[in-house]
Amino acid sequence: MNRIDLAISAIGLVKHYDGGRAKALDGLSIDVAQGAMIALVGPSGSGKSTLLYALAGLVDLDVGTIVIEGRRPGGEADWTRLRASTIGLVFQESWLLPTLTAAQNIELPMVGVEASARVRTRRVEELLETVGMAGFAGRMPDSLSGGERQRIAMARSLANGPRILLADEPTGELDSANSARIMEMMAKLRAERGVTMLIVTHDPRMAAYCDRRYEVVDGTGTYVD
Amino acid sequence: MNIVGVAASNLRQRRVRSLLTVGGVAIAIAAFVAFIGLSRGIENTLRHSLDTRGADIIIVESVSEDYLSSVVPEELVERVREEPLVAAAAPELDRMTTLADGTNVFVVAWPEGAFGWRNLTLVEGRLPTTVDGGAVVIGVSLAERLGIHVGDTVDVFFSPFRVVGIVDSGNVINRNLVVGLLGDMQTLTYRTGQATSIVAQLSPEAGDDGREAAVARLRAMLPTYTVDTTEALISSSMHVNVARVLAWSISTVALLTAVLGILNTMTMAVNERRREIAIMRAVGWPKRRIVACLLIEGGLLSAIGGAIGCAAGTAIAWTVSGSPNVSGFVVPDITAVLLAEAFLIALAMGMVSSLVPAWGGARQSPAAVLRGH
Repeated sequence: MNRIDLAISAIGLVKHYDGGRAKALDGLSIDVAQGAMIALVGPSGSGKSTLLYALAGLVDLDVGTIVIEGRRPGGEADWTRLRASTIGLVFQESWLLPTLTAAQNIELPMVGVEASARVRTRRVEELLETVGMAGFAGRMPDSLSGGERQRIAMARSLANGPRILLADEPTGELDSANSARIMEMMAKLRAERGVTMLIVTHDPRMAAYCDRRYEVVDGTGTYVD
Repeated sequence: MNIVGVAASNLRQRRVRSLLTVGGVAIAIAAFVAFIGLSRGIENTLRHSLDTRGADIIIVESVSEDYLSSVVPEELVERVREEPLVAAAAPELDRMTTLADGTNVFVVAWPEGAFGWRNLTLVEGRLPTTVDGGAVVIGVSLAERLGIHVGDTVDVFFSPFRVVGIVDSGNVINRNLVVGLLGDMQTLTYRTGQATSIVAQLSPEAGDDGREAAVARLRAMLPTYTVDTTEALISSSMHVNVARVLAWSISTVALLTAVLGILNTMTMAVNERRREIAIMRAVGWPKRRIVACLLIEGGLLSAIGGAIGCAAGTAIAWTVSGSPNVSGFVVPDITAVLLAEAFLIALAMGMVSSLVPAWGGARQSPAAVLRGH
């Protein structure tokens, strides 16, 4: 496949922490096709999360090249634009802003991107519907359960209509019922919207929803199926 | 929701800290408005008092630290009258004293017929003469405050004086004056043949240039005395300068304390919200928008504090100026410009104090924060 057709192409990523003592990525390369749903698996500390954050432009790499949808982001401003338009992020914890309501948390990525308040409000309503949280718009995060918060976080990651979703153990803090709900939601999103997904997970059931598994060990990785 | 909404929401949800910071800013701005308003008020009130008494030029002892402690010989007036542009001149004796009921009053004394008398507007009664043998006129506000009428007696320097008239003028000091004859007051204050100053009124055609020229000639003529326009004398007065320096010193300390307060609040806010800021970055907020959001928070805190401080400072200044010890001596000079200055200072404090923590917060590595490093 031509690299221009790939959603993500990362080549030779190297990242050291602690002044070079800890190696998180050691020349890792990965290609992700448009619309693919990939599980990033591997032992703790192998570099999965660093890879995920690097693919979102949130890690300053020592060496390596990342191409998103055929274009190599030129710098911080490019990455910021990508996160505001093309790349959505979901984390292990929901990390909703505690001072904002559920609806405002979902609206947050649209502030400064979508000028029309009416459009923003309509999109928030749609996303609340999508994640099964209609009627929760005015609720504060501390009044929601862990599963509900994670669904709001999922809606937030979709606010600007990203074509790539990077998720760092999105079910890691959830019970099995809520985990299943999130997984089904992600699979549905991929099926309906063609969103490319890269999901860090230790959960084999989550990995089973994915097309392929990419295993990261000691900062390098390879597709294992 | 917009960026201001995000900032306002943060402040609303952290109510106690926001209120305490607003309180700190409000106190600092209130101190600034009250102190600066009062010190400017003292200067303006004194200057206006001399203006409304008709004095253009004033001659005092050059070595005296302030106007009230000056001693000049009464006969110096004759030399001042030699200046061609001087239309009238008179010795003036000024003293502060406390009346029997504890009221502080300003006592002014001129010789009978001095030009100062003509600038007093009689509301009731008449002016005192030497044949009265111990008579004064008092300002209308003082008369009202003490419940004194024409014909009553008031003790000045522990001696009874008959009030023969009540006078008014457009100045708070003058409305609270006790004005008597020079000879009476010289005797009572052991200053026979002496005055505090020689006050001179220039002829109407003198103009600004003429006034400067007259001052220059009088200075040449009287090198051992201080000759000044009334404005210059008040501006250089030790009391006015002390009030001004104190006002600025206290205000500066209060403002710096408020700056530290906002800096502390915003630093805490940024430290507590490192993860929230990282999330903002992760969802595509550029650094400048995060900095702007935090600056707006600091700006909102300081704007609210500034507005409250302006109102409180005005109220404090007027309350202080009405207290028995200073009532009748000072009208706070709190202008729209002063309030605008205070508000802008508050706003600038908020923005500047927020800038460092905001920039630090926006620059942190989102990945490191989100991964708990």
